[in-house]
This record gives sequence, C-alpha cells and structure tokens, in this order.
Amino acid sequence: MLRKLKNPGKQAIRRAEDWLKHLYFAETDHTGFGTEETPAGLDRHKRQSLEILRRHGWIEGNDDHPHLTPEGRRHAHNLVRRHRLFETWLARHTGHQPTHWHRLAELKEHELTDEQVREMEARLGAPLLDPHGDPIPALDGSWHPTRHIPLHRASDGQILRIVHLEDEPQSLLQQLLNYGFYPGALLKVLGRARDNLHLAFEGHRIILPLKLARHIAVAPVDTSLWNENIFKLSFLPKSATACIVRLADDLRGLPRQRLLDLGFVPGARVRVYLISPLGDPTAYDIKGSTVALRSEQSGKILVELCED
Amino acid sequence: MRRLNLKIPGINRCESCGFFHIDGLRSLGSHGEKYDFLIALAGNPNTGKSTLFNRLTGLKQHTGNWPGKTVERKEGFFAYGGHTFKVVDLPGTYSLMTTSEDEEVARNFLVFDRPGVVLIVADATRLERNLNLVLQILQMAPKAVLALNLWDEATRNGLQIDVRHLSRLLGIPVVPTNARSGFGLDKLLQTLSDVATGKITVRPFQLKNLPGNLQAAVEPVRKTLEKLLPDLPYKTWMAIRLLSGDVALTEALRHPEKYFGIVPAASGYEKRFEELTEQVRHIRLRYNDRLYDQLAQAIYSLASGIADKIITRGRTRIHSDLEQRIDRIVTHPVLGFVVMILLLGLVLWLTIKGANYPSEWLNDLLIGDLYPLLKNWTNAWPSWLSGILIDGMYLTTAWVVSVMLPPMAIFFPLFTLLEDFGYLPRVAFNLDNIYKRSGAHGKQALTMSMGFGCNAAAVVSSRIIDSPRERLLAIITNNFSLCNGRWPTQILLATLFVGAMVPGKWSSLVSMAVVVGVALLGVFFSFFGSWILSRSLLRGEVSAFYLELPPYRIPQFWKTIYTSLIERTLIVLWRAVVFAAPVGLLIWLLTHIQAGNVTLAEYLVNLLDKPATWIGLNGIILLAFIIGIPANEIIIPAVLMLIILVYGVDLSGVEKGVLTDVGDMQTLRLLLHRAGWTTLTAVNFMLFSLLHNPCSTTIYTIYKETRSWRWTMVATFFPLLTGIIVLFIINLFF
Repeated sequence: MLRKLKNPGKQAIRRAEDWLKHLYFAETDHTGFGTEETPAGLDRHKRQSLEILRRHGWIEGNDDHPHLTPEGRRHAHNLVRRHRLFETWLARHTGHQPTHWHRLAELKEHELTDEQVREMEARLGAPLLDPHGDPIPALDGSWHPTRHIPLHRASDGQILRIVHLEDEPQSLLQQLLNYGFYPGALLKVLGRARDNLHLAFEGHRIILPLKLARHIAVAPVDTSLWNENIFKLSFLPKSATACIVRLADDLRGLPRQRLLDLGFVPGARVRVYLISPLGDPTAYDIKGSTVALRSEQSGKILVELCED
Repeated sequence: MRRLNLKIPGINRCESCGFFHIDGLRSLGSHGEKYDFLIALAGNPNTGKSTLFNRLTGLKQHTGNWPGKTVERKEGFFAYGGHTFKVVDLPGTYSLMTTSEDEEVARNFLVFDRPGVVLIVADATRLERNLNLVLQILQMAPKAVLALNLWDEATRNGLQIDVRHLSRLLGIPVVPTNARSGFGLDKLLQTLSDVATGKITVRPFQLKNLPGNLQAAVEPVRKTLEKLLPDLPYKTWMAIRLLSGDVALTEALRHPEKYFGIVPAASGYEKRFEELTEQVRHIRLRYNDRLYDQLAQAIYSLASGIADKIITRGRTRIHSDLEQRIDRIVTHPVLGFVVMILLLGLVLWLTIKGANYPSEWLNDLLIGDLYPLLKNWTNAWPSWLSGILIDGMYLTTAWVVSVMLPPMAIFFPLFTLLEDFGYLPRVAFNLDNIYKRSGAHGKQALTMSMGFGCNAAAVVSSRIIDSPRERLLAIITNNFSLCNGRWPTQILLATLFVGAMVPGKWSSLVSMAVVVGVALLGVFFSFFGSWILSRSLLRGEVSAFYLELPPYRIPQFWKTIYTSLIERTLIVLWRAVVFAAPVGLLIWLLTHIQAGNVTLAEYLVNLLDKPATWIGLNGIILLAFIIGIPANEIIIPAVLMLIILVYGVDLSGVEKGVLTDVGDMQTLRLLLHRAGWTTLTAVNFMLFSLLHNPCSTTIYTIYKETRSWRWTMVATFFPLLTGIIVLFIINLFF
C-alpha cells in the first residue's frame, strides 16, 4: 500500500502495460475468441498510458489508432508469457483457488524478472499450455496455436475435449467451474433444446445455457476415447468395485502426485470400506491398504464398474 | 499412520555396542577424502533411509545444502572389506519425474554425478508404492542394490515377498533389512561391496515396451540420440526426460563432453542438436503436455504388475472379521463418539491424576533434598556465584523437570499405544468433516489432543499430516490446546477465585467445569484460527489430503513405552532443560541487579504495569509471562516470587528472588488479594494463559519443523495477538 502511494509511477506503468497487452490481443488473437472488450477502469487512464507506451517506443500512431512497434510486440508477448507461466506455477505449486489465478498473475506479470521467469519455466518443465488452456509463448515469441471451436457450435453426437475456459471475468470462470469443467475434460454433445445444450460429462447429464457454452473452447477428439460408463469415484456405492480409468486433468501438482503414490492409478481396483459417521471422508480399499479421501478428491478420480 | 521417527541430540543408538555391531564395518563419519566408491542412498521418505545412513557412517556426518538449493545434503564415509565408500544421502522422494526441488536434486545427482552404486531403500510394507521410484532409479543407475527395509513389520503384517523373484525381475540384488535393529545389514554391506567391486554383476531393468502412444513419442527422440551420441547411457530415459521438458538435461546434452565426457559422433553437433530440440518440441506440442501423465501411469502399472507377481498376502481379505467389527463400532455415528470421548478422557485423567505422585517425589528429591545439599556444599563460594548457579539455574531447571517430566512420561506412552493399535487414525476419520470446514486436516484432532500433553511434542507429531497447508495450520494453532504446563495454573486459579464464590460442596465441581470450559474455548479458538488462517495467510499453500487407516495391530507394549519415552518425552525434556537453565540465570539477575534504587524486576514491573492494565492484567503478571516463556510451569511461581519481591510480604522460610511454591491455599489467596487481584484478574489471567505465545521449547520446535522464520513468527504471534485482542475486548466491557 505504502509503496503504491509513494511511487505512483509504478502504478502508471502497470496500467500502461495492461494497455499494451490489450492492444497486442487486438492484433494477435491467441485464443480464437476475438478481441476482449477494454477492461473496466483501463479507459480512464488511456491518454496517460498511451503516452507512456509511446515514450518507451512500444506504440506508434495517434490515440485513436495506436499500433504496436516490433519492440512493443516483443514486450507484450513477454508480458503474456510471464502471466501464463505464473498461472501455471500457481496451479501446480500453490493452493490458490482457480478463480484467483488470473488476478494474482495480473499483478505479478509486471514484477517478475526475466531470470525468475526462466527459472520458473525450468522448474515447471517448460509447459506449453497454461491451466486455462492458453498457449504459453516461447522466449522467441512463437506459440502453439490450438485448433478449436466454441462449444455452442459443436454438432450433436460429437465427442469433444475442452481446450480452454474463458478466465475473465472471474464470475464467468466461477460459473464454468461450478459445472466441474476443466481444460482436458472430455464431453459429448447429446442434443440441444432452445437456449440450452445437453451434454454428457463424467457420468452426469448437464444442461448448459448456450450463452455459457460460447466461452468454452473445444476440439473434437476420436470417439474411441469416449467411455460411456465412466463416473466419479465419489458416486461409487458401498458394495461395488470400481476400476480407475483416469485422474481428472485439473488435479495437478502435489495432490495428483499423492494420489498416484497411494496407488490411485488407471486400472487399479477400488472398493468403499467405510464412510465417516459425519458423511465425509470415505475410506477406500486400494492395493492392499485403506485410504480415506474427501469427496472433492474422489470426485476427481474417474472410474467404471468392474467385476469383483 | 507412521510412528514418529525423531532424531535426538545426544541420544543415539550405540554403534559400538555388540548388538548393533556389524563385522568389518568401520564408520568414518565425515572423515575421508579419498574413497574407492561413491554410493548414492535413495528412497521414499519414511523408509528408514536416514537410520540406515546413520548406521553406515556413524554419528558424525557432514550436513549442508545442495548447491543453490534449500534441500539438505548429507554425506559420510565408511570402510568395508578393504574399500572406502562415500555415501551421499539423496532427499527422500516418491518419484523422480516431477519438478519439485527434492526430485530435481536427486535426479541430477544420479545423472550428472553418476554414483558407482545406488543403494535404494524401500519400505517392504508398502512395496508396490515404493517400486515406482525403484523402477525410475533403475533407468539411470548402472549399478543398484535394493534394501527391503522394515522387513519385520512386513512379516508381522502377514506379507510374503518373494525376494529372489523380485531380484530377478529388477535385475539387481535385493536384501531384506531392518535398519533399526540391524537385521540384514551385514548381508547388505557384503552385497553392496560385491556389486561395487564387480564381483556381482547387475543388469538393472530397463523400460522397453512402453504403451502405444508413449512409444510413438519416445522412439523417434531415442533414435536421434542414438545417432548423435551413440555412447550416451540410458537413451530411453534421456529421451523421456527431454520430452518432459527437463531444462537442465537439455543444457547438459548441448555440451556432452563437459557433462558426460562423450564426444559427439559426427561434426556439426550443435546444429544437429538444435534439430533434436526442434523435434522434441514438435512431439511435445502434438501430445499437449499429456506425455508426463502417460509415463507416470505406465511406470505405476509396471510397478503394480511386479508387485502382483512377488507379494502374497497372508490374508486373502484386506480386513479381518474382527477388524471390520471394531471399525463398525469405532466409526459408528453414536458409539464411535462415545468410545472416542471415553478413551481420550481416560488418557487425560490418567495423566493428570497419575502425574501428581511422581511429580511430588521428584520435587522432594530435587528441591527438598538436593537443593539444600547443594546450597550447603557451595557455602564457601561467593554468594553471587551460588546464587546464579544454584538459586537461578539449578532451581529453575529442577522445577521444570519435576513438573514436566511425569505427565509427559505418562501421556506419551498412552497416546503412542493408541496410535500403534491403529485407533487414532479412526478418530481423525470420524472428525475430519468438522476439521474440513475450518480448512484443516482430520489428523489435526490428534495433534490437538497431543497438545493437551505438550505443544512441542504435538508440533513434532504434526509430521503425520502430509499436506503442507494443513500441517502448518496444525502447527500454528496447536498452542490453543491447553498444555500440561498450563492445566495446573487453570486449576489453581479456578479453585482460588471461581470455586470460592460458590458453596463449598459445589466448589470443586464448579472450578473443574471452569477449567474444562477454558480448554474447550481453546478448542474453539483452534478451529476459528484454522478457519481464518486457511483463508488468509495460508491460502496459497498446497493442500493434498489423504488419511490412511492402517490395520489394527496389538501394540508391542514395552517397545512402545520405551520408544515413546526416548523419542517423545526425553527430546522435549531435553529442549526444556536447555531453555530453563538460562532463564534461571535471567530470573536471578532480574531480582539481584539494581536499577536505580529498585531491582531490575521491580523496575520492569512498573514499566509493564501501564500496558498490562489495558488488557486487564498487571505488570507482575506480564513480567511473569515473559519470564515464563521457557516453560509455562514457571509462571505461577514467578508471579508469587514477584509479589513477594514487590510488596515485600514476609513469608517465613521464603527467600527473596527465588521461585516460590506456596502449598497453602489460604496463604495464596491472601497473597494474591494483597497484590490487588480480583476475580476478573484471575479470569483474565486464565484466558491469557490459554491465549499467549508458545513456550520457547515449542517455538524452537516449530522452527525445526517448518525451517521457516516466517511461519515460526506467525505461530508465535498469532495466539499472542488473539489473547491481547480477547482481553482488550473483555476489558472494554468490565
């Protein structure tokens, strides 16, 4: 707080860099979703911000039609790179909520040094996609375009993989997350009725308003990947045995590693042994030991019934 | 749940004792510059790796950090069969494929330092899980030996492991061991030495037929490596690592002569290497970062396949009938909680009641008999010297030992018995949902109950919580559990002030109820604190819940008692003593150094008086809490000492500036009234005793456990601030 008051320059540069990113996205579309609207609050400082950018030699042209210089483009993609790498870091190495990633990265992208970014990239194993499914540009500015369509344009009966969830604004992302969607998830379009899309998703039927479906980018995948009988381990009834099909992609970092370490690997057989008197957690028999998991975790383990 | 495995300063298994002696082994500690073979010690956490390391190298090891890392590096030397060995203890990890610092350190050591033999330590009771790491290590180790540790426990659990078959499948020697008792270590050493010298040849298992997708991704890269660097070892693994985005390895392969001592086969290496990285990038893009998962799954299912072949369970079913019956009772919606309250109540009751007698004996011995003896003996010394040493340091230490030791010596073995039986994880299982709501782990129920005995020990026991965020929560909020050093204070004040307000026959009941109420208030604050912390300071910490329910087992009674005495009680006592003695010195100095025309203590009391009244206390109490930082047990005696000092009350037989224990209730009440105490003061005192900073032993333990000053400070000031706020609010109303 104090620092901000003492040093208004930093705040102004931050806003200017946000403008730079905005201009960058207007001309280079990473997601195929068209341009974003000018974020609220950015417009108020337009003149000052553009002036700063011009002084850095990052933009040319007048205030109504500014365009990026090569130098400006380089700086912009550097900002995007920092932002997305940091989001990946937050997803894998911290416990922050998915809805907070964007906001935290939005602050941090202005502060990270190149050295820190390089180290982070190495520690992350040079990821190609951020946790929302956006491509992370490489140092030389190249990035990997993903081929996809918005979900509401998908045809009935198609098997799709979610490749991207819109992460702005936070309330929209929260809505999408409430359905349980995550990049990497598989779903099937069953049909549509009026303003809704009917989907099959991890053992559930979901009715999704088309206006939300627009914000989910999907890519068609081979039908052989679809498993009609899949459901979440949290729904396994007490006397049945299930076989694990896979762990959901949004289970990342340490939590994922732990489950694998405990033997929750594809093909492993699971049974419910005990349910806590307070309803949660549930203790499962797995690979000769008994491990209790909370419903949030067992909801990320996808299983199908198998013979005892 | 795992039994805690503590390292105790000064108390270590005797290596020269016959029982632990291994023929031909000479531990060289950290001495040795030249060595014949470099050994890497690798394995999962909690497999007894450190115990084995200590057994091999003796007590003195060189510890430091890995270059540029926060991970601890331990190395030592030993001689066996005419050769010297240098052992490097790698950080305990579950795998070598993720990007955590620990795994990076271990992986890079194996690849770049190329140890002669990798000694892998696996937990025989959890072999399948451990095999995952074993398989990964074999991909980059020219020679390896597998020690199946905790063999006795595996046998006791009814596991039968076909060691010879396992050895054939893995292509390396496998030796069952028990690092604690020393079982199998002679054979392990002989094997290790034979493998190192080449007497035994090994052919570690190599990944070959990877599942379809993975093979399609890895094979082209492997082939390119084959062309570029035909002499490079472990090409499949290197290809896998390149595809996993291993930046360090990519850099090393760019300069193969520097890192691997391999000269590229053809000229124009740099350009061809760039083509390779382009190829890798291309394949990675095609598989969208999904390769890592497939690889992990491939290795896990391989491990699982091997485990199925070599492990036979003594029992066909996982849970015996008896176990199921017990579980049905202890996790029953009604009975489960009744059993829990009865058992934990019994443990606390036995501790509080049972500790009285040995406490008295110790008190009589150390203070009643030994103290006058020492006083007498040092009669000829200058009075300041005997004052510092005997009245200051000795008396305080004796006090702490006599009040602290007995309850811990009763509480910890009882608690450990319940833990070894397998009951405590069920308690966590029952209560987890409540803890989940405040953001904590069900096992915090156990660390919390442990805190009723001793906060420092409870902080250590928070190791049972594997998830970083929840473990910190348990550590930071543990001080809200009213520890054994504070129960007597609560009971004393409740009896003196609250109990005295009701008719005699009710007084003991009422004062007991008040004490229980204070303890419950602490439980409330630990939930509340967890709730706040998990949503503020700690929300960025990683959370990975799981709770293992081990099979019930008859505890090994004497062994449990012995180990809990050694590993839990003595370590805490040791730390307490370390802190008590200097404070004894401090007390003596405070009461004997003059500041102007009053003693330093009086001066401080006056200074603290003003701020103390804002929270309904007084200068004496505040100073007593400061003096009592090393051990809460000292606080009441310090209060009495200060009252006598400041108000000049003359009690026969009590020396000024000496910790005071006044047994007579009537005198006590008079003394406190004389110092201006009201019932409100007493209540405030009780609350502050519940809600203040942890004792120095606990603070030190927190630092040891978290290795972070930041969290140590949070754990110190969070409860203190809570106390100040609560008292301040109360003071506003009364």
